[in-house]
Amino acid sequence: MNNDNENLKPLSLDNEEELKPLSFETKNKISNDDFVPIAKATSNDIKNKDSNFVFFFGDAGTGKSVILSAMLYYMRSQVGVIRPKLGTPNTKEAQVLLSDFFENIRQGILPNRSDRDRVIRLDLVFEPNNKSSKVPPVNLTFLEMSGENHKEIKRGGNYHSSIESYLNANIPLTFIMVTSFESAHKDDVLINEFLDELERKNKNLKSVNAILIVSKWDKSGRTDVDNTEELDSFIYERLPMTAQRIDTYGLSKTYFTIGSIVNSEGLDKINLLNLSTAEVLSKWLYRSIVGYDLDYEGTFWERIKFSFTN
Amino acid sequence: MSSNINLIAFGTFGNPNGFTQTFFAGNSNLAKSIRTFDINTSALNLFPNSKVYSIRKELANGCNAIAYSIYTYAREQNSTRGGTFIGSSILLIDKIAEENIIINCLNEFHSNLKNKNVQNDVIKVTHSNDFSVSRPKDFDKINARLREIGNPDFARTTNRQLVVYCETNPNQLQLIFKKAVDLLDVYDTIYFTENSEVAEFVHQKRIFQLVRKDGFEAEIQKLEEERQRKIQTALDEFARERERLEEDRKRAIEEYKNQIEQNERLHLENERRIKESKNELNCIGQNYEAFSKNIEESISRLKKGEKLESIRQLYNENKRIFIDSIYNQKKAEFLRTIPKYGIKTELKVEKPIHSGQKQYESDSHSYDHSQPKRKAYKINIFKVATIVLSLMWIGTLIYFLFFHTSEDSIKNQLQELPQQQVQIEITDSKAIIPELNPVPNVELNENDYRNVAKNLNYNIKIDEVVKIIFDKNPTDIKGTYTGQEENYGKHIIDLNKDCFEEREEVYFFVKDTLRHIPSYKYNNL
Repeated sequence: MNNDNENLKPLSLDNEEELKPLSFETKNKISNDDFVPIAKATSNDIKNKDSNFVFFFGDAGTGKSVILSAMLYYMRSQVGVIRPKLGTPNTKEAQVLLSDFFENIRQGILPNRSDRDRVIRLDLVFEPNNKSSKVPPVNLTFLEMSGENHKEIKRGGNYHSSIESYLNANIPLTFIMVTSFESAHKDDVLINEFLDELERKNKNLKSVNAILIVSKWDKSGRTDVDNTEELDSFIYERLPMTAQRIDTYGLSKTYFTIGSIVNSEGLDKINLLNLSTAEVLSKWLYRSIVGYDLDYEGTFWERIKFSFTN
Repeated sequence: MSSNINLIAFGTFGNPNGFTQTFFAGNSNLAKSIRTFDINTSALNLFPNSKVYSIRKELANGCNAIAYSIYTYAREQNSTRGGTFIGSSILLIDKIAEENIIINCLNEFHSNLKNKNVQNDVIKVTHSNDFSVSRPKDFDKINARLREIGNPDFARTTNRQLVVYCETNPNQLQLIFKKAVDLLDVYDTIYFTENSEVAEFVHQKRIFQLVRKDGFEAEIQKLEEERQRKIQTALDEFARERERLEEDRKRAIEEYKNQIEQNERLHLENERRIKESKNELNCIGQNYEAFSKNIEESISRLKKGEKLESIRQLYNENKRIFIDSIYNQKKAEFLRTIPKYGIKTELKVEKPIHSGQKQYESDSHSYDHSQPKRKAYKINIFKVATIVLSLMWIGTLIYFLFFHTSEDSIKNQLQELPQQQVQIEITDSKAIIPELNPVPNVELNENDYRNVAKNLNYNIKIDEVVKIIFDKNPTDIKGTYTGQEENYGKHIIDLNKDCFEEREEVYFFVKDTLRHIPSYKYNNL
């Protein structure tokens, strides 16, 4: 290492040259005077399970945060009220994130990247403005996390403990799997590994609520699809394994776009907000949880009643 | 090269890798155990031309680690979203080095990293492993003057972050870093920036605490005061302890002296008693000898032929004196033992408390005491439920075994009761009408009772009806039931109730035909 400007190579974890003697005995060298204080658990058990948890899965930069903010914005601005849940205070970060979502989407600013190894939990109540008694308010807990962490499950790896705890808990989970129009072909394996991971965690895919979203559909040059076959053929072509799985288990799929995006001053901005795909997604989410459509017209008697009251 | 000094480069690479970090020098075993250098993007954001330094502590593989890092703005390749950056870090294990060398190395390493990998604020590679980096000139000098890390408690994480808005030129920064190490006791990570945009962002989001330079000094001051206060309390405590110790000492010595005096008294007393006992011992010998002499004297006097009675009397007298003297003899008293005085002190050994373990200690303390209580008072709901359910089960069983059967018997009684009543009714009616002798075995056939009916008149008395029946059936009825006419009449009334009417206790025949006329046929048998 005489060269002052020597180029460094990344340290690899794999090429350990020195072999160390293996010991299979349980290491019990620590004398008894030492004791290890039990840390005040930064507990991984999940509190307030009384909600419907929405879990976003997808690579970094596929648009999970965008989809979440668009859904929240749609629900809040078009079909009802989405408000913080009483009794389960959101963390300060969640509050900041939520207000950022609402503030920025109106100004056309896309959400920041999410940082690693953390799950921000947004506890919300969605009250639809539909008056039918079949369309009740629902508790929704959105789990916002970074895409980087999802890579950790590759080749049988484990999730970061903060995410793992949600998957292990016995809570109603809805999975929104996101892949982007541009990188879908790279995500086929990862999505399958995620589905395997879910099976390992006893989440039977036949009974679980899951949807595959192809995001950034606007990159295809258009903001809609002519017919469902277009989306189907895209998925069959780019995500063949996932497509089989979706067909076999009857999972849902859709595409997503936030609208049209222009680059101004080196920054991408939304110049036309399109909530139609967010609408589809929000309605699917509601229907998959409650079992009735968000725009359910009411029972027979309710329709008669509404015809008088309106 | 010492593996205690680690050089790490990291950045955000967008789709698909996101944030990654790579060790370029040092101990790659640590790579898996250290936290990420990612920034909480909702709290702190990098902006074009902005720079953020940070210092943070952590426990990596059980080692105390302090990381000095620098973050500058950089965009991901395929997106323009916020919260992206490129950064470098020097992570030191167990010991820290001269701040100026660290800062120089860090700045050099990072500017190199930026030059080689960032173009127009966009990171050109897709993973931190692909970074091309070069070794800082003075990197080996870091090793030269290592010193121990001072105060921070590495095991405790507070989850608090501080952002300091201050000048970050190398001269200022080395002073700040030096001071900041102490403050890591309170904050996990401290960020420093001289960029007002970053500071404003932090302030706006209010997730991290933002202070200016003076605020930072105040924080350190506060920490120092807090420490001083703790030291002062410790000093006070020691002083109090010393006072208590002095009192304790006096009391202990006093008590010990008293005890010694008491023991001395006891000792003298014992000595006196021993002397007395020795005297007593002499007396005992004399007594026995005297009585023995007396007996001998009595023998010799008897041999000389003196009177037996007077000798016997004398002997008895001497014997009585001897026995009295033996009984009056004091027994040798046992010595009272002199107790060894055990010194007691009211001072107690306090368990050594590490500042980090204090919480746990107090917890375990309360655990010790409260746990058994809790066990005692806490009712296990499952146990209770089991007991209640089994009681109910047993109760049900008992109910069916005893009460249920008794209910059956009651039912039986109830069923029996009407039968008895019926029987009673029957017997009652039979009591009124005594059986005929012999009991009738047939009734007259239609031909016969029509024959009887021809002779019956309306409104005749029962006696006359019986007479007519007897006349018309001389063998079967008259022959059998002569002498029982009255009784037979009653049977007729009973069998043909609707044909008779009672007037002044006499029955009158009010119809035209008697259909039931009891008879007795011998050849039937």
